[in-house]
Amino acid sequence: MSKFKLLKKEECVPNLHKFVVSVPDIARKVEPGQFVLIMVDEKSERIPFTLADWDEKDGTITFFVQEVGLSTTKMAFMEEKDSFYSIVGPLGEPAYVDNFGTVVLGGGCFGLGAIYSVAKKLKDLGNNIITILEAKNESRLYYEDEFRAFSDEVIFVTSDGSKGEKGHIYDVLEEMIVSQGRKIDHIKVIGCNVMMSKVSDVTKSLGNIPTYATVSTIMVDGTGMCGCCRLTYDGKTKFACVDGPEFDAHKINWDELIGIRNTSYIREESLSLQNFSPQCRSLAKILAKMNEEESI
Amino acid sequence: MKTKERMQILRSEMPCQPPEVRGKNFREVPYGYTEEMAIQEAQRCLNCKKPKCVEGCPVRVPIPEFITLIQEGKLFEAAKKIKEKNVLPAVCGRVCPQEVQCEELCIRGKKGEPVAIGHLERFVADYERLSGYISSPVTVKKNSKKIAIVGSGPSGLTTAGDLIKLGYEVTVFEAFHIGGGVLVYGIPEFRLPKSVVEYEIQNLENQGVKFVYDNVVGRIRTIDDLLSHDSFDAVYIGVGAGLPVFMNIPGENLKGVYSSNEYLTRSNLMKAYLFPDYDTPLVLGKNVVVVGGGNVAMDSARTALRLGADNVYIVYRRSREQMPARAEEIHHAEEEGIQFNLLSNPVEILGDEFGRINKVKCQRYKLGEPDKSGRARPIPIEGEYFELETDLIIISIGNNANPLITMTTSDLEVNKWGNIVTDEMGRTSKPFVYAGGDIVTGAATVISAMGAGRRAASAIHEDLFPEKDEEVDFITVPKEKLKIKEIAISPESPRLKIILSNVSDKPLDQVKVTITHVHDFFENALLETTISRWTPEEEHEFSCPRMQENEKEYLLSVKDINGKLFSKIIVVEEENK
Ligand SMILES: Cc1cc2nc3c(=O)[nH]c(=O)nc-3n(C[C@H](O)[C@H](O)[C@H](O)COP(=O)(O)OP(=O)(O)OC[C@H]3O[C@@H](n4cnc5c(N)ncnc54)[C@H](O)[C@@H]3O)c2cc1C
Ligand SMILES: Cc1cc2nc3c(=O)[nH]c(=O)nc-3n(C[C@H](O)[C@H](O)[C@H](O)COP(=O)(O)OP(=O)(O)OC[C@H]3O[C@@H](n4cnc5c(N)ncnc54)[C@H](O)[C@@H]3O)c2cc1C
Ligand code: SF4
Ligand code: FES
Repeated sequence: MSKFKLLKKEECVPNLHKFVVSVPDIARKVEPGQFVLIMVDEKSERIPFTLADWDEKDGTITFFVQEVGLSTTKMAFMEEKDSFYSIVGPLGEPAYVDNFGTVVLGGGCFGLGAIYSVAKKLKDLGNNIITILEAKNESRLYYEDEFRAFSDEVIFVTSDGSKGEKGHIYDVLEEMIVSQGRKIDHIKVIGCNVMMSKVSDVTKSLGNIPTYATVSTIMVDGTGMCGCCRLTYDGKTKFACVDGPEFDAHKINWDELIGIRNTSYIREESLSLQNFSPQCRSLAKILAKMNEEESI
Repeated sequence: MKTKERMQILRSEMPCQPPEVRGKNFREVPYGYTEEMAIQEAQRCLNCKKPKCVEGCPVRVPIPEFITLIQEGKLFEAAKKIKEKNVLPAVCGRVCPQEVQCEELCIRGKKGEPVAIGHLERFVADYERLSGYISSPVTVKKNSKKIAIVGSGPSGLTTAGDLIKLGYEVTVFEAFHIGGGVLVYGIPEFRLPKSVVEYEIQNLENQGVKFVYDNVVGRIRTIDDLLSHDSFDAVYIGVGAGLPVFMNIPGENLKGVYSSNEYLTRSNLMKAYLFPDYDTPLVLGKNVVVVGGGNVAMDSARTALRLGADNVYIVYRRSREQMPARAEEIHHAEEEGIQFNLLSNPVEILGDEFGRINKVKCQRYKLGEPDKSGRARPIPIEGEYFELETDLIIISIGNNANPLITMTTSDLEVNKWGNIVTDEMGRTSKPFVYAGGDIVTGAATVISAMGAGRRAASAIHEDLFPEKDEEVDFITVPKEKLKIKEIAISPESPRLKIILSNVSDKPLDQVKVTITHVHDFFENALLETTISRWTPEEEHEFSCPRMQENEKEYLLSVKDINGKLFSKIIVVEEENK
């Protein structure tokens, strides 16, 4: 089955991989900010990934994968020319874009790559783009050159100060707004929920600067059918997969999202990761090859 | 066998896995009839002249006919007979609410138990499937029109099956990675084995229907894209009612609260019941509360039980008689030890400091005056509350229409609940776009979704090959080709006889003669034959049984390889001339 073939895979920094997969129908239709749901094999969960880039001509889509649990580890073990069992998309509403003026884009972990398509689109619309890329240390930063091509300014921030500023995205933002008195019209962040919630707190307290976050929720169908991805937004229940995944960060009930909804399966997640024996795939391949040779 | 003897036979009980065993496994609960049991049960049918049961069946399965075939041991023929009207008998035999449809009206139910029509339907369908029968590709001439079907639930599958037989190129687009709709992601394995659904889809594939999975229409392609970019001639929307209703009470977003859609999808489609062999997890509750009284609630409750719950409670705001679930499911749930808290409804969900639920507070209800649906209205009783300890709550209080398609399609009329508006044949406000099943009616039944699919298939055919063509044909080819020579039909005659002769000077190829009953909604053929070559002056006689003595009008239609030749309504004369 050559559906959903993995054409290119590259480990940009340890445990973070760039995937290029052939899905022409999605490449034709996707817009910045949309995501796909992926099943690695028949037994996999359905896991969401934001599309970072695509090429309509080649029919390919690109996304970044941070290894955190079972499915993402399975993906890390895939090799070029392997195929995914299922890729569904593009899902979710496209990111809110316009000519805002000066836009700050903040990306952390997989968000460094994920926010790329939005950056490109906003640049096309005539915005002044400031990109802030956050990582633990210098060795975890990637996609620098790509962002330089579309940003008027690229700022690095690392927890240990090994590259650029020391601290987090929200520290840089605070510095820019409070100390430097710079005017920012719009902020977008993609990354882990905790980072985004902190950015939201900062920008809210600094005069409600419009801030949009791409939330990470657990998902199943991605079409609004199950309600698993629900969050409280502006006092109402919303589904991240159809109403989002990008929301006005100031209206999200972050405590509920981070503390309750996304930690529903910690026990099961660690159990299934422990059960996973990474040799399986390579072993299976060798066995298949041996069988093949025998039959010849 | 005499009627008296038939009357003495008692209904064959369906053999089932014992409750204490089945509560711990996911295998199907009823084993199904043996051949002897089926034949004995079939002998209870009186083969009524005016079968009441058929009136109760939404797609008018010829019930006494197929049961008579079982009596005669002609089991394949019986399966074929049902399939004339119902393309998914193995499914319907298992999930139709027979007690309020065919079996409710069965004459034998007046005194004692009705004939077990559902069990018999299931038996013959299983018999055919287990014999290894598979359908072969449809050999009809392709008519060069392409139809897109959105959604592979029972309604989409029915439309696909009907249209492929009419020569269309049919492609089904499905959002999930496997087909079947609610039949695979909603109804659990222990009630409808997935192999049954797989078999039906395999059959359609063999007949030439193409399935495209992982395709969320509205996102990857819109309905307008299907009509323009993908150049389909018509689109059928059968996407079901997939938007879970929550209760909007405090605590609903705590850990351990599921919609039944999520719970059942995780368990059935993603096979969370096989975790950790399969990757998708599911919270396993010890004290489970299921809110609702329909099939969905029963399925959720019985799934939770099988996943190891100690106590499973159904909390439902009306009384038992008003539960919409199938009688058999309520009965099975009770046998398995599901506890019913009727006339009560949750008002608040309480949790611990980790956000995990631990209790649910419910209010007691009483019954009041009947509401619009005719059911007594449940009224909350002031100040009467009780609490249940729980670590898993599954909310099964219904589904609304999912707006994904309607939002992304121009000029598609919807009602105030978001359901697509159609005429009785499934035509929407948008030309060449049809819809049916739960997305039109709101959550209903498998059989009604199938009926809608079938009506839409005939509407599509009518619209793509309109009668107008026939008139044009008449003008350009003035010479009559076929003539009715004789019609033998009278009120006494149980049969209809027609003699046709070719009056043109050319042979006719692939002449298809169909006789249907004018008032038969599904236009099911009483007779359908094809004469491959009909030479000039040659005569053919056609004969078929009449529907019923009091039915007077029949429709004769004749086509050849180039299209329709004529159609004519034949009326049975009142008096002998
Ligand atoms: C709209 C959207 C876009 C996303 N885009 C990307 C992307 O481009 N690249 C990327 O690497 N990741 C992305 N994620 C997050 C990614 O889906 C999760 O990392 C993934 O589900 C983890 O699966 P797993 O089986 O490997 O880990 P699991 O074993 O399921 O979980 C391991 C850890 O990850 C956490 N987790 C589980 N599911 C999620 C989730 N859906 N979101 C966040 N944390 C989760 C768990 O709480 C646990 O701590 C996105 C999530 C969403 C909702
Ligand atoms: C748990 C449960 C138990 C039930 N038990 C019974 C019973 O015992 N007896 C009975 O008669 N009825 C029962 N029902 C009701 C019955 O299953 C439904 O009425 C019936 O399945 C409706 O059929 P449908 O074809 O309209 O839609 P569905 O069966 O819902 O199928 C719709 C299909 O469309 C797909 N889809 C949705 N959106 C899109 C999109 N945008 N693009 C592509 N595909 C899409 C879905 O994935 C799905 O496969 C039950 C329902 C549930 C949920
Ligand atoms: S009503 Fe009952 S007895 Fe009469 S034909 Fe139908 S199934 Fe047989
Ligand atoms: S993932 Fe199921 S509703 Fe969003």
